[in-house]
Amino acid sequence: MLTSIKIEITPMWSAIADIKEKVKISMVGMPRGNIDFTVMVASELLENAIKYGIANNESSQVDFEFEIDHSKVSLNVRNGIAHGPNLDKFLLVMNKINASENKKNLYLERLQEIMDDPTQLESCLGLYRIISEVEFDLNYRLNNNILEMIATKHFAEEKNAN
Amino acid sequence: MQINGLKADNFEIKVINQNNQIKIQWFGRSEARNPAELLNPYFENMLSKLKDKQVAIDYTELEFMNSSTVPPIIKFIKSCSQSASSIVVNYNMNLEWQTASFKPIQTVCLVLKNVTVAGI
Repeated sequence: MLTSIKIEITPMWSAIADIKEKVKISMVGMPRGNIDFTVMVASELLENAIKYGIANNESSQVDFEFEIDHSKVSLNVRNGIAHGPNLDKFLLVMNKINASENKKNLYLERLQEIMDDPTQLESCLGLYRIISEVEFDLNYRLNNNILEMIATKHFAEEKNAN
Repeated sequence: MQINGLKADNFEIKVINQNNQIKIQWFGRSEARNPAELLNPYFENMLSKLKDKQVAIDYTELEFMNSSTVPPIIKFIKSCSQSASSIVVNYNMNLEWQTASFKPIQTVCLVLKNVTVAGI
């Protein structure tokens, strides 16, 4: 059965916990690992949208869409974005991800950079974490100052439930 | 020597100090916008009290951490490795998210002397 959530949120940090809870509830009965991984992805995408997104003429809110059936989950987060260093950094990371044949290494490389220089202020780990730790596919669309992130994963069919 | 714990919204660190051993236990959900703001000064203050101690950092009861929590963890383990006599970092290998999150940390910590990261 397909379950979906579609929410428009004011970009406030406290909204993330509410959405994580909604995702958890909509996945009741699925294996705990799948739930934890999906909640992690939702959290990372929403955190980025709230940290780096902006209100512009095209969007003043953050749109969150979530769809799950027994074998596939899809998360979609949309927010306004301004051209500038944050967008440049994002595009650089996504280009690295798309070009990489070993995505796990990207995450390890970033962890090593943090280990070598722990004074770095930003973790810049969220996107690498999504593709490496929990192995979701990650894509984006950038149109008219709107950034849309799409994370998907096909779960292996399992009988055990939490 | 007394080492205080740390409590924030949905998250807590408890410290048990017994003889030469110090156990640092994480509980709850680390999901603040900037966990480093809270964690880095807390750990920096703790470091001098860990000199030549056996330190055990226990994440097995941690329910969630966002990616911004990872740098303070790495920073603390690295700093600790230069001060404590040994550090054992344990995660809960029955929780898939913990295995996925701590395995990469285990890999980058391999070069640190006296540090063992293991699932239990």
